[in-house]
Amino acid sequence: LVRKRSTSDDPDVEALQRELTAARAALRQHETVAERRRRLEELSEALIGTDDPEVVYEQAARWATATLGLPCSIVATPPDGAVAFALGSHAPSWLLVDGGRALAEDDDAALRPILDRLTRAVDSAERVAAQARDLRTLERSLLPDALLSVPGLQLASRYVPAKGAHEVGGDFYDTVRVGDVVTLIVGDVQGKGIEAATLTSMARHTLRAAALDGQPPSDLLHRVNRALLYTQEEQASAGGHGVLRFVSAVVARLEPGDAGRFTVTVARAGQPPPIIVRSDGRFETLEPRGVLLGVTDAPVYESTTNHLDVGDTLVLYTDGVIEQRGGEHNALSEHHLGMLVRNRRGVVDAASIAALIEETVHLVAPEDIRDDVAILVACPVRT
Amino acid sequence: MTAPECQELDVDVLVVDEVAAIDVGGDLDLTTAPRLIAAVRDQVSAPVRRIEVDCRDVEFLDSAGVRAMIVGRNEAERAGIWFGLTNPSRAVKRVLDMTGLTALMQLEPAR
Repeated sequence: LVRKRSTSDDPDVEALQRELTAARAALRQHETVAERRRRLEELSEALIGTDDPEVVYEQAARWATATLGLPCSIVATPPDGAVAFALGSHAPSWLLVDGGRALAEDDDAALRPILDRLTRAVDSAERVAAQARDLRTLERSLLPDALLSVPGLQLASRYVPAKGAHEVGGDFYDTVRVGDVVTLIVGDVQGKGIEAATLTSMARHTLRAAALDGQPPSDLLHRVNRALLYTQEEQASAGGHGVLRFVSAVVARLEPGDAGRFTVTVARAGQPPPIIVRSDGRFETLEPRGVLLGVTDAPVYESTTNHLDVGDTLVLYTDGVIEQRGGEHNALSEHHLGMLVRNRRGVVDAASIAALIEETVHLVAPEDIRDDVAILVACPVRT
Repeated sequence: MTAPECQELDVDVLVVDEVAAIDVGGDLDLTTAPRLIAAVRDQVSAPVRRIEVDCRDVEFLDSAGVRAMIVGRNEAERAGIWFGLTNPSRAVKRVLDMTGLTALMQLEPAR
């Protein structure tokens, strides 16, 4: 928006310039310096609290333009010799009035007092944006960087954060491969925010370490349960009034057998049952008994064993998938989820099934996904 | 789809012969769970010898609601007070089954 100050030969541009000058003159006539200052102050006040720096820059330019009656722009680097006003304390951007022209006394007087406010708005927006970036980084650290490929198996994952969440969510998923055996994990830590995230990290890495040791699913759950109770005891003895949080998880271990078949061992702790959809459309929910983690020192974690053949699909998901509020008729049940995946039979594609489930979650709870959702899908394929 | 704007929880407490019946109805979730915890704490410090949380009218229960039940149970049992849920609604039963808490919560039908 930096306007050339040289006279243009272009009649359209000249006409535009004349119009601008006339508009400016009209504005000046009707507004005293005091009025303009007041208006700009009001507008700049509204900027503080906006959390997107780009929005702040854009608005600042627009409002400065409207108030001064002179074209204002924000640039990263002011041109040589231009008069520019710094916005923001760190790596400032620059406000140019009328392409960088020096201001008349009136305009300068109107602009100066609110530059300080704009700077505060920019600083606070940059701060919020930086925090959001940190949170996303933390959130990513709770999920695997990639799903390692497993021979004869397609794996796909989805993580859908709760809508409008400015905090780290509590859901996690993981896959741990040891030789040809892969352990799939989805879980959920109660609550949100940094404090919950530290527990998510503890749960995830405890499960991971046990899975890397080759332990079966129910042992993984016992381990996390012990670790959680231990942490709670430490907190209690420290006299801490930390929030008591519980963890839920479901673990499936897949071992390859003959003809592309996998043996699936599942244990769960307070999560909805995983689903196997068979190639002929039947589906089974896997419901070994198991209590939420961190509640009792004598828990039972049963495990069930099934087979997964080429053409079958195994779905692990956290309760966010089916626990969206909306009354019984709107809630997505295990049954619905099974039907949904069943309709995709013939299409053995873990990624598209995971995407379908995510879309459906959005559809069922369009405005208001209250909880995070983590989904893992496994399909044996011919090699 | 119904708007989930105003979540309501009714908590009524009736103490007869050192048995506290805490009736909860409505949505037991993140915004209302603290009220159940507070009601249980009142009875723990009273103290009574038995706390029964009647869940007949609970329409929605999320993980914060489950947490409130566990916290209530832990604090009651630490004080040597019997704690249990009575008359679980379908919503409550479903969530307690999923979380494996059914046995732990000493579910009881109406007396």
